[in-house]
Amino acid sequence: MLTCQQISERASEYIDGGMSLGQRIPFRFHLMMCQHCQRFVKNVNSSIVMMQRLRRVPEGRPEQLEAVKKRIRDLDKH
Amino acid sequence: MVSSAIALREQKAKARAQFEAALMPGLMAGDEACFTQLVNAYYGIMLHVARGLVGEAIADEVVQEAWVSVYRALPGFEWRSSLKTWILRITANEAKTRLRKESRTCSLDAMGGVEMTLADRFDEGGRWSKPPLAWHDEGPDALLINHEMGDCISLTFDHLPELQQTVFTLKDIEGSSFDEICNILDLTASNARVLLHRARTKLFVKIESFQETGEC
Repeated sequence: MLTCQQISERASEYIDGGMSLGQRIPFRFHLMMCQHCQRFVKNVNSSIVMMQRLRRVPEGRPEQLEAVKKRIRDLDKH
Repeated sequence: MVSSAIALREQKAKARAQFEAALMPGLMAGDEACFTQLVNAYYGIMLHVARGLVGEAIADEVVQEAWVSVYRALPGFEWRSSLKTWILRITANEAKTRLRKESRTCSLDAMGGVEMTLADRFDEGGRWSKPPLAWHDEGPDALLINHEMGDCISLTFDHLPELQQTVFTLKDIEGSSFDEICNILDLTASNARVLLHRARTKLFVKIESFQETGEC
């Protein structure tokens, strides 16, 4: 049987759906038996959702866009 | 619950595909407004990728150079990947060229260090000696009502090694697949997974500690 430490090391793979059936079954079996690990997986997932709520990648700033446009215009001139 | 993080990522990936499909005819026709929209949409994520590889100081220069390469190569784009993956791959190549010119290398130092955050929470048999705490029953949104919590998470993220931030941003914020991330950053799948897991674990540890102590 997987240990709690092994579950903690593979939690991301489980969350991302990256496990084969053979890996998923013992992982889920452990989760069924272990409230601490259930909580760990749930909380790691919550951590991801919190970051998703907090962060979005910003669009380019006006001066950055202007600098790109200038580079392209210069390119077209030559 | 586990599916909620994935659902948000999938929404982003779908929106990106629609955005690119709508923009492509104009881009191929050389429409400046379409190119400006593209620059606007992807500048920020390009900056993340460049930072992950060359650091903050010259990331902006790398992105500027990458846009010149994108503009030149755009007529030959063949949809072998999404437009975004293609652009980010060009950005990563520009970053690596820059590193070579400066005789620097992209190291995976970012891989180390963080794993220890959970190691002291297990006994010798691998069982939890300090189990995870119960978080707010109402879920992540309820936790974020406390703005100090949000600030603390953001601060923690900003202090992660750059490459961990980049992989987390690509995967969890932008919805890129592991194949795309490995293609963009030239990482093996296992390295990408390790970087992502360490970033997530570090965030988990900090959120838990903030709930326990109220301090960041």
